[in-house]
Amino acid sequence: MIRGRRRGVSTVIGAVIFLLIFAVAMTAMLAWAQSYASYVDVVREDQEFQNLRMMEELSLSFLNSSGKLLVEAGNPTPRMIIITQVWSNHTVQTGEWAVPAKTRVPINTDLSYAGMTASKVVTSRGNLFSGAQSTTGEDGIGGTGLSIIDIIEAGRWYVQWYNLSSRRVFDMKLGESYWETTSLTFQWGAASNDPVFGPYTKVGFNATTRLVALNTTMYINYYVNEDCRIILPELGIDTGWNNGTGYVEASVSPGGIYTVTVLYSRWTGAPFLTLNFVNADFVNLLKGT
Amino acid sequence: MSRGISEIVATLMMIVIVSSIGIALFVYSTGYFSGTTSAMGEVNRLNVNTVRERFLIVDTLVRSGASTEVSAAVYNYGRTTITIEAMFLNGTRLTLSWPVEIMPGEWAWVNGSTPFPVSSGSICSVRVASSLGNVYEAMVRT
Repeated sequence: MIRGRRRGVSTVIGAVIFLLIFAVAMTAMLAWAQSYASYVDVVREDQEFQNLRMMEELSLSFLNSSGKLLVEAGNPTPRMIIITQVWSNHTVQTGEWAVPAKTRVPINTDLSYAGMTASKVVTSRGNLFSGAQSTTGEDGIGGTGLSIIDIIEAGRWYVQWYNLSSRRVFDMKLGESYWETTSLTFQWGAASNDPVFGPYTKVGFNATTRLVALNTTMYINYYVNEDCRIILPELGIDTGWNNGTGYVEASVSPGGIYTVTVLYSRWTGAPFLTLNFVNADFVNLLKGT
Repeated sequence: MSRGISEIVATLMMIVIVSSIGIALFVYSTGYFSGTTSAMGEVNRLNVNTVRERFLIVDTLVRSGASTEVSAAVYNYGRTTITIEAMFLNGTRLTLSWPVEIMPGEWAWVNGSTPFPVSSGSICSVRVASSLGNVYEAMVRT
């Protein structure tokens, strides 16, 4: 009788201790499982976020609106995109601009358009879309723009002509034209009073195109009588205003596509400009379209 | 009689020994599981924050003379505050004035410097690293 009761006491104590340890272990397991489940949830949310982020797409035009930068943002995707930052060179304007699905929205900024060589917008999902001026210039160059996509599709130069109120000041847009060569010679008149565009004698233009690099180095040779300026925004190249002969040597990636803008200002003297691009071709010509 | 006492004593001793070992085992296992749970929770919290951390470099300025100064505009588009603790230029760690804390949806300039110059016009990699080990790298022309 005594022997049997003794065995019972040990069993109870052993069972209680076992149950306690088991309960502690299970509690730990439960806590770990919950914590792991929360981690999996966060990873799943992150995957969804990354999917949305990858789907974002914008077509941008950087335009001049009374000397200020106007960004025209087109959203071809089926989801709304929120732009939180607009950068012009190294200056930023923050805000919240919603671009609804399948629409195009103008974004007026306080950023100066003059001297802008590279612009970009940043979305709330952390995408960065960059581009160059659709119409490039400074000191009051105005006019409406052509989107980068249009220029790519065109595979030619989009040229905007202006009347100048003073040297390099592009005041009034006179008209447009298109050039289809990467080796062009513009020469018109010999004297300062020879008209260049209709009756106008003091004339300037900005010409923009997109070129694909054919080698690791692209050369742009120029021969000009007052003045020309060449800008390759993706490469951070801006020659400033030049006269006479010269060249730009740009280190590029073969197959890389680059925006090229040429500004020309004729104030006095014979108007001429010769440009020759080496190791470069129009984008759509290379595609054979 | 003496046999009866020794049996009681033996039983009591056995109960005391079993209880002591059991309690010791219980206390040890409680501490072990508690410590493990706590450590796992901490690891999980770090992992969650690491996944939630999202940032990118939106703009970069490199000024090179006798030494080089690099400024990177870092945008935090995640849901957690990030701390940028290190910046590298072409793999060389730059000296940061202090770690930069950036709230969700905000951006800030992170400035670093190195006593070595870089050649003008060269393409450099600028990398920023957060306190949780996430990195973002951007290529920039000096």
